[in-house]
Formats: sequence, C-alpha cells, structure tokens
Amino acid sequence: MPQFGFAFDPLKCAGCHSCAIACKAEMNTPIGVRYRRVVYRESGTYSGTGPGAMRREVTSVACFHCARPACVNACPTGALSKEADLGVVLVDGSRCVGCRRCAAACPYGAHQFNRETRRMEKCNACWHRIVDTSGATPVLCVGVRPACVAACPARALRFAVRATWGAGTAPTGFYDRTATGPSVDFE
Amino acid sequence: MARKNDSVVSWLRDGITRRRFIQIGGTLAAGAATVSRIPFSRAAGPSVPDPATGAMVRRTGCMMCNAGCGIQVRVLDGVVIKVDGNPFCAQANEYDTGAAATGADVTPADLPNADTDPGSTCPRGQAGLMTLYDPLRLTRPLKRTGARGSGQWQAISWEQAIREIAWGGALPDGSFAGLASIRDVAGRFTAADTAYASEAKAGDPSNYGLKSNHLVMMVGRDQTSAATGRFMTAFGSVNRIDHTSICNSSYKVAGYITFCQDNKDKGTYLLKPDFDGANYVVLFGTNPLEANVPVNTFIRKIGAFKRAGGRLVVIDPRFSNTAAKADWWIGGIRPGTDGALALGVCRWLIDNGRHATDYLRRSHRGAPNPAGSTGWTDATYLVHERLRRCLTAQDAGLDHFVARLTTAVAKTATASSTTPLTVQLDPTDAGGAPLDLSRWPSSGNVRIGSELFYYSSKNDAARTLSVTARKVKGTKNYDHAVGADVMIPYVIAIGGALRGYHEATAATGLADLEYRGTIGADSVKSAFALLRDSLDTVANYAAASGVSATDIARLGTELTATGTRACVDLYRGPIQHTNGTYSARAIHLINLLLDRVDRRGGFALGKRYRPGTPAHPGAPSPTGVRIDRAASKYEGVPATPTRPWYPLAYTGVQQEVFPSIKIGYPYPIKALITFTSNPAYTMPYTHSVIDGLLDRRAVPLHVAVDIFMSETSELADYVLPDVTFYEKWAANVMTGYATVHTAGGTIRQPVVGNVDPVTRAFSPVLPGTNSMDDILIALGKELGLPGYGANGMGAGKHLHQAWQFYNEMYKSGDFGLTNGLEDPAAAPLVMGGRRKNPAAVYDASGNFINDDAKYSNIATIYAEWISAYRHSYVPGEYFNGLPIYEPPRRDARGNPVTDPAGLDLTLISYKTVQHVQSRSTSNRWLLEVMPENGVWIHPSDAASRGVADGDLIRLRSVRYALLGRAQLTEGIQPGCIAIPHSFGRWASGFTKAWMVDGVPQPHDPAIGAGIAHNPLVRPDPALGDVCLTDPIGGSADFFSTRVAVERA
Repeated sequence: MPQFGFAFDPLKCAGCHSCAIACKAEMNTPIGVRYRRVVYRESGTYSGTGPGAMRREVTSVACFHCARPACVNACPTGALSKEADLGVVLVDGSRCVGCRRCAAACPYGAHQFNRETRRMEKCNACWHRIVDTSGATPVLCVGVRPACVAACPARALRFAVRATWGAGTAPTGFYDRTATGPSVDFE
Repeated sequence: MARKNDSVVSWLRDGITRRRFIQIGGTLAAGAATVSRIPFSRAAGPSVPDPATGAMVRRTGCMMCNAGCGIQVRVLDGVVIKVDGNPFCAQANEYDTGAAATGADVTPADLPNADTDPGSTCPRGQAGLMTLYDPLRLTRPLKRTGARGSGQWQAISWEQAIREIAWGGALPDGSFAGLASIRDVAGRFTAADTAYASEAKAGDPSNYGLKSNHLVMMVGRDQTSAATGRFMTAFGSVNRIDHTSICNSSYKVAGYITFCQDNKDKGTYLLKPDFDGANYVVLFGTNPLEANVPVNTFIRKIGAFKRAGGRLVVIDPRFSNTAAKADWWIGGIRPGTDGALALGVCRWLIDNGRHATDYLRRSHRGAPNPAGSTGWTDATYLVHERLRRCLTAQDAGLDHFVARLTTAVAKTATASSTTPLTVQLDPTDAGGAPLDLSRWPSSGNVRIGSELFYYSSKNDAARTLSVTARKVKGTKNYDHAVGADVMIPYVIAIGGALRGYHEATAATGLADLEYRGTIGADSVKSAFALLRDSLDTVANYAAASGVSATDIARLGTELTATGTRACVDLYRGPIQHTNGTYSARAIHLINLLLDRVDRRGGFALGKRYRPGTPAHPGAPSPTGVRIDRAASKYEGVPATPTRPWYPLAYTGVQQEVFPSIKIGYPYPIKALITFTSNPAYTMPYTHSVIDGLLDRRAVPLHVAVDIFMSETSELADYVLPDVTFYEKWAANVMTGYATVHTAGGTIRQPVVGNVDPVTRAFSPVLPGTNSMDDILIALGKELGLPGYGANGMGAGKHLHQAWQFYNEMYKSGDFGLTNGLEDPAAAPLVMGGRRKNPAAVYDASGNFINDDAKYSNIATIYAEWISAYRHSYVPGEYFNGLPIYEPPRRDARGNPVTDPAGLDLTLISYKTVQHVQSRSTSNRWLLEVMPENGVWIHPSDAASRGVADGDLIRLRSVRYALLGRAQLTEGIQPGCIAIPHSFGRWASGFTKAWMVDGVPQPHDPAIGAGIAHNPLVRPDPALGDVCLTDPIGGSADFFSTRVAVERA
C-alpha cells in the first residue's frame, strides 16, 4: 500500500518554526490550533562533555498518518478515516462531535480542538494542494509540496509516498513507533 | 499624495477592534481555503492568474528583517492570502539551471513551476501578512492634543499634516517653526547659533556647515524607502542618521579597513563563509540560524554543510540554536574578549608555523604566486613606528620613487572613476635624476602630500598619472600645491634591501615577511613583524578570554589540519563592545593568516544588483558636521571636546544623537523626523532617548513615520502612518550575499494596493496611510525643494508620485529595465529581481571562479587609516593600526568601568528566530510560537539566589531595575544572564490605552509581555547619559552590563 509520510532530518532542522507558521497560513487555523509544531528538548549540562554535553534536539511534529492510527479506532462517530489511496488520515468535520477522544488516543499530539467550530482538526497532508481529485482516482501532483515542506529553509522536512516507513533513530522521548506505525523516517 | 480609491479592498478600517479582526481572519480563511484547493492538473500545470479563482502570484522583497529575501505572494481579490519564498531568489531557493547557463541571467522559463513550487522563508517571512493585516497598524495621520507621551491624539488630514509640518503650527504647549523656516542652504552656522563655536574646526562655527543641518532624520529600516537620502540632500542637511551603530557598525568599519581594495575609498565588509565549500567553520558571537542575515539562506546552507559532514564551532556564552548544531560549543568565552581568543589563535598559528607565508609575502598583484592566491597583503609593507604609518619611498630614501607635482591637486577638481584627474609630475625626481616613471607600478596607490590616491594608469613619456579615486577616508578636503611630493607609498624589504612594494618579481623573489630595522633613530618593521612583536602569549590570551590554552591550541590545530577548508566569521557578539573594531580585525586576521579569502570554503564576497539614481537637478550640497560627529575629526580649539567625536565611525553613532541634542552639541536642532526607527525601545540605555524626546526645548518638532504607535512614535508631535513593505517599491533590497555565490538583486514592488493608470498615484490597503516616499514627495513639493514636482528629475520627468521616482530609478542601474516599471511583464518585475545563474563556482585550484564572489585584492593587517587618528576624548591616545586586544568596558575617557559590589552577573541579549527588534512583536502568528520572553540563568546562579524556574526576578543594573521571569537553563555560561529582544514592550500602540479624538484605540497588554534588555544597559560613567561606545567603529555596547539578580 502506498503511504504518505514525512522524512525529517534532525541534523538539518534549525528549529525555526517556519513549517509551523506555513501550516498556520495555509490552513488559516485560529490562534492556539496548531497542526504542526516544533518541539525543543534540551539535555546535558553547561560543562558536560561527550554524552553529557549540552544538547538541544528539535523536531517538527504533525500528524504522522500512522499505519495503525489509534485515533481512528478511538473516534466514536467515524469522523476519522484512513484514506485508501495515500493512507492519509482525514477528519470529516460534519461527523465530528468534538469529544476529543482522538486527542487522548494520539501519542503525538496531532489532533487540535478548534474552539470556534467546537470540532477537531489536524494535518490533512495538504490534500487540497498535492492531490488532483479531478479524475476518477486521486493523483499526486508533480512539483507541489505540502506548505510545511515548501517553507522549510533547511530542507529538513520532506514528504514522500512509500511502502514502508519507520527508518532512522527517533528523537529522545518520541513515542514508541511500534504502537501506531507513524509514517515518518528520521534521517 | 496618493489619490484614494474607495474600491480598493480594505481589511482594516478606523476603530477596528481585535475581535473584529478575528472575524476578518475568518473571512480571510474562507478565501484561502478556496484558493488552496485549486485542483492542480498534472498535464497543464497551474496557470497564473488562475482562471478558477483569480489568485495571482506576485514577487517582491521581504522586509520582516533586513535580509530582503525574495518572496512570492498569493493574492486573491486584492488580499494577501499566503507568503512563500521566491524560487527565483538564490537566498530562498537552491537551484542550478545547468552549467551551460553559467553566468547567464535566470529567466522565468528556467523555473516553469515557480508559481506552485516556491522557495523557502524563515518564520518571520512566512508570518509577514499578519503584520500587513495587523489590527494595531496606524490608520490616519495623528497630531497630539496632550503633552508629549500623554497618549492623547486627534486625527488630522494629510493636507493639514503636511501643511503644518512645512509651515509651522500650534501644539498644546506652544507653537513650533515648520521645516520651511528651518531650511537654509545659503547660511552657515555662526557663533550666535551654537554654544560650542570654539569646538568647530579652527574655532570657526561655519565649519559646522549649512544651517539646514538643523533638521535631523533618524532612519531604521531605510531599505523600505530610497527617498530619504534625496529628501535630506534637497533639504540641505547632513543629518540623515541611520541605526547602524546599534547594529553592526564596528563590524563594517573593521571590514572597510581590512578589505579595502586599492582603488576604493571604502572597502567591503560583507564577506561571509562559503558554507558550500567549507568543512570547518568557526563562528565568533554570531547565531546565523536565528539572527544573522539572511537566516533563510544560512539555515539551508548550514543544514547542507552539517549533512555533508562539516564541523561547526560556535563561540558564544549562550547555547543558541546555532550552538546547538555545533560540534564544539565554546561557551566559556567571557563577553567582550573575543579579540583575545582570536589573537591567541593567531599567536598559536604563527608560533607553530601554520601561517600561509606565500600568501602573506605577496605584496602586490603581480608578485610571484606560489600558492595560487587571488589576492595579496600588506604583511611585508614596512611600518614607521613613530610616525604610525607605512614607510614611504621618501622615508626610505628611494628617490626615484618620489616626484613632485607640477599641477595642483585640489578638492575643487573632483576625481572619480568616471572623471579621472590627470596629475602632472616634474621631469626630475627627488634625487635630481630624470624621473623614470616606467619603474613605477602601472597602477596603484600613490601618496600626494599626506594623502593616498589611486591611479589607474600612467603615461611614462608624458609623466602623468591618471588618478581615479581618492582613498583616505576622513580627509574631506585636499589641496596639494605645485611642488608637493608625490611618492610610492609602500616599501618592502627583499633580502634586507628596501624596495618599492611592487618590485617583488620572479627574479627577486617574494618580500621579507619579518623585517626589523631602523631609519635614522626610528624603528621600522614589516607589518607582520610588528604584529608578531605585539602579540601576547597564548596563556595570557587564554586567561583574558576564559578559553583555555589547550582549547586555543585545539582550534589552531583543527583549523590547519590536512584537508581542512576552514573559515572564521563573526557578527554582533564580539563587536558591540568598546573594543569592537579591534576584535573584528583580530578575528579577520585568522582568515588572513590562513589565506582563506576567495578560497573554496573560505571567505567570500557577494554582489548586489542595484538600480540607478534619478537625476536631482538643483540639489544643494549638504556640508558640515553631523550631530553625532560621525566621520568627523575633532579639530577645535579646546584640547578635548565637550563630547567625543568619531572620525572613523563612517556609518554613524546613533546613540550620540539624543544626549547631543539635549545639550545642543555641537549645535541645537530644530526638527526631528524618525522613520521605521524606534530608538526609545531599541537603543541601549533607552533613558537618554526618552529624555531627549520628551524635551520640547531640545526637540522643538518631532514627526514620526511608522506603522505602529511605537515607544518612539508615542513621544512625537505628529505621527504619520506609513504603509507596510508589501505596499511599496524600494531599492537596494539586501540581496547578493556572499553565501549564495551569485550576483543578485531583489526588486521591492507592491503586491497589494492599486496604482492609478493615469496619475500613477498609489492606493494602499489602508486608505488613510501613505508610503514614506509619498510623504516625502508631498513635503518636498510643499516646501518647493529642488528635485520635486514638475520636472523634478529632469525635463519632462515629474516627481509627484512614488511610482515616478522608482520608475526613473529602475530605468538605469543593474536591472536592465529600460522601460522602468511601465512594462509589468518585463522579466525582472515578474521574477521580483535579477539573478545570475549560480552554476560553476570554483576553479581547479580551489579559488572562486566567479568574479561576483571574489575579493581578489589587498587584505590589510596594519591599517594606517586607523593609526592616523587620535581618540578625541583621551588626550594623547592614538588608535592602533594593528588588530590588538583591548579589554572591554572602557569608558569614553579610556578608563575601565567598575560597578558597585553585588552587580555580579553579565547581561547579554540576543534575537530569536521568531522576532526582529521591535516591528514583529504584535504579529499574532509569531506571538503564538513565542508569546513572551524570560531571563536565561544558569541553575547554579539561580540556586545561590534562591531562584527557581519561572520565578519573577528583579534585575538591577547600576541605575535601573526591571522584573522578568527566570528561565533556568544549562545553556548559559554561569555568571551570564541573557534576555531576548522584542519583548517587554511598553508602547501605547501595543499595550496601553491611548485615545484618538477621545476614542480608545486597540491595544492588548499581553503583547510583548516579558522584559526588555535595553533599559537595563548601563551608561558610560564618563558621560552619564549614553551607553558605552566603541570610539573607532561607533558600535554601542550591548553585552557588558553587570546586574544583580534577586527574587522579586
């Protein structure tokens, strides 16, 4: 099965938040609704060396469109579904009742509650940008990228459609990937 | 003045509230959803304008910071709905259209998917549209109705504002004279005009210049208007004062001096590491992933550098995002001692024979070049120690290189690159022999009397030199009579024998690197010998800097390991100190000793395309001494002036403006215009700015042009609402950085708003606003200034509208827009600029192949420009021509600054990647990422003060105290605390109730929550009313204030 996902290079990422703001601009989310965020995590000490040296890990996080999305199972109304062609997890706003069980189930904080609509929202992989739905089956457009990917000055965030995901070493504290199978590679 | 068009889509109207803005945001969201669901067809590709929605893509230059990256903006129904990077801009995109196109201009056809496949932006650029649609923007001209700073205003018409500013008017506390009565381009200052007449040159107050100097304009981000210089020239005032001294002026001055080509009167300062080719980069006090320019590019380049295995060393007391990417973070550097560390590395390199002798010994362009270097240095030039300058042919008794003028060379004959001055020499040389000019260099520097000139060619038979540029900065007047000595200005030793600097050939070999000798009783040394003898021990430099001798040796070893392509760079950390110029020169010296200029992975130049300058018929020549005494040498009667003068601070000393105005030194001012400048918030030791702005006697009229009611605008008499950078043309957008390897230039042009096709009047998004350009044109016309109105730019070239100005500007210059702005389909306007194809960078020997990236000229170790000047305020002290280490924190009298007991932490400041100095604070998208700031403090310093993370703490410096939140982190040197800029705002336009015509205006106390750094900065104890200042480069000291911290 082809699966949409993100490849992230923590070595290149400068933690600038351009991806998060590009997402905000593209999706016009209200303040406080953040489909994509950049997580900073510090360790080590000022005078530490080797493994104890000062360290700041930065990770750009949004919905990872998991292979086994916990949110889909948690949703009592069937508002969440895993789309068949690219494996993108989509929210059907008309069926969402805003109960936030998806947010409780998701280990990556993807689901965001919109206080204006009283419904849940999250990353839709910029479906409206990257997928041509004019034909019989959805087709990935050429030369068009999700807003977060296009904005990244570091080229640390890329997207792809692959059979399998899960390569590379996850950042410290990243939830065990065997649970839901997030579609993300760490380079 | 722009004609207002009511049909223009306006998202903001008078009296708008934040709640209303959120509703508008909802409308905006609907528009974006429509356009972002364009079903892009694979076969046809998206077209622009898109027939389904009418969305347009327009390209311009960003101005959220000053890097000026190209952006492309999606506009629907006159509304900006998304900002992306301009893929044609090399700062925003990495692209290569193939080796076949090397050196050719990029065309729209090179990137056929440009509209849908954009380049990148930094977060500020991405969020810029929220500044365009910021509900706190000023919407109408305002005149104060209460005391200055009372927050009481009335809305007035543009006509009233222009009329009163030009002709005078009444304010609640008295009337004021308008600009018309201030302008005087015929009269010069007299003793009646100043209390400091004796401090003018030779005690003659006319040397303060034209009385039009009574008008001062302070500009911040002047890249949003190219019209301020024209206005001040037309007005006749030299007092157009930019913000550079709170930015990077000592970095600039150090660069101008170290990298001044032999044929330029000012060098270049913007060399940057070639991250593409480097594999080892050392950064002194700079944070290019967050705060340098262009962040957008540095993030991309450093990311690729790291991924390719490059090693990064970051020297910074704070663990910045750049330090977080470093392989080696040197956090132990004591603030202000970077020069000591750099010289420690230099000492180690020389002691261990790691310096590039073949490069250093090259004394001129034609010298033997065993190392394949592109440039040469002054390392072998002999220096006369007592005279503090390079030894000349005359000093050395090389009579055949000394001639005499037979025609006068006077300031009235202006030599420039286009009008060379022919200098005729006497047939006999100084030794009485026939002058043999064939032995002189074919081109180069020549000393006439006491000054350096450059000649581009000579005629041996006619005995003439064609002088094309004057070289020595700071010498404003030159007047050399018949008989004046003309000589080759530099002497070298070859095998111990003194020669002209150009006489090192394949036959003679290279010049002696270390020469020590005497001329009469005077010591003479090569610049390199002088440097070497001046260097302290590695151990002493280690002790001064806080970086161990072991680490210094490690730096030296790693910089010179086999296969290393190293570069060293710096920015504000080392330079915004009283020793800033010296420290910058010391850091540059590492690159020089290692022959890293123009090398793959070394120090590279960039080239920026610029538009031309419209004609300015009838313009006066502003003359005299600036209010900040920048670039002026003190030559008054009293031995020491009342306040310091800054002969080498070419870019200005903005912090001196308000303390000087306050005492009318060197003369009083009558009116002040501030433009995109917010010194009341951005200036270290802000108190003197606020004191000055509140003083109606010192500042009789203050007109602020701004987009917000900032800390500075709120203290003005009139506030004129500017437009944002999305609604403007501009010139000299800051593109063409070294890091991108290619020449480039961005054109700023409006992406929203309408141009009237007949009158060319511009209607911005907010009908009550006007661009600074249009404001100055209106003022110029009202005042009848030369160069404004009908035929203002020459016969048939009228200047009524900004469009006309930029149309004329872009017709000439580098952009190739022969029809100016007339043809919107012209490629540079479509692409938002002009760029050269960046393919092919290095030649076989590892040098830059591209002339746009090469310096290829002399690099200077001993700067006789610096050593020629005295410290105006320390009797008997000259500046040093060498890069030296001078401890930081010297006051204006040269004494070390001490603080009372208990002020035991050093306060430093920084910028985050989300914010710029003061203009981004209310941007809601940026605030969402970082809503307030805190004070970084090391856990050990916090523990000893009983402070826990998140505690409210009181920071007390020698005069002021502020509250902030403690943010405990291991990422700060114990003994230092750090505050990011952009927060701790107090301006009424953001945080306080303020009134227009009795109606409360939008504000939000949450905006800019936190603590400001600048009010805590300590004053110079010798002056009491200004921050500490680098006496050479003029930089303001940001990073040395000592504070006490306690729980509040």
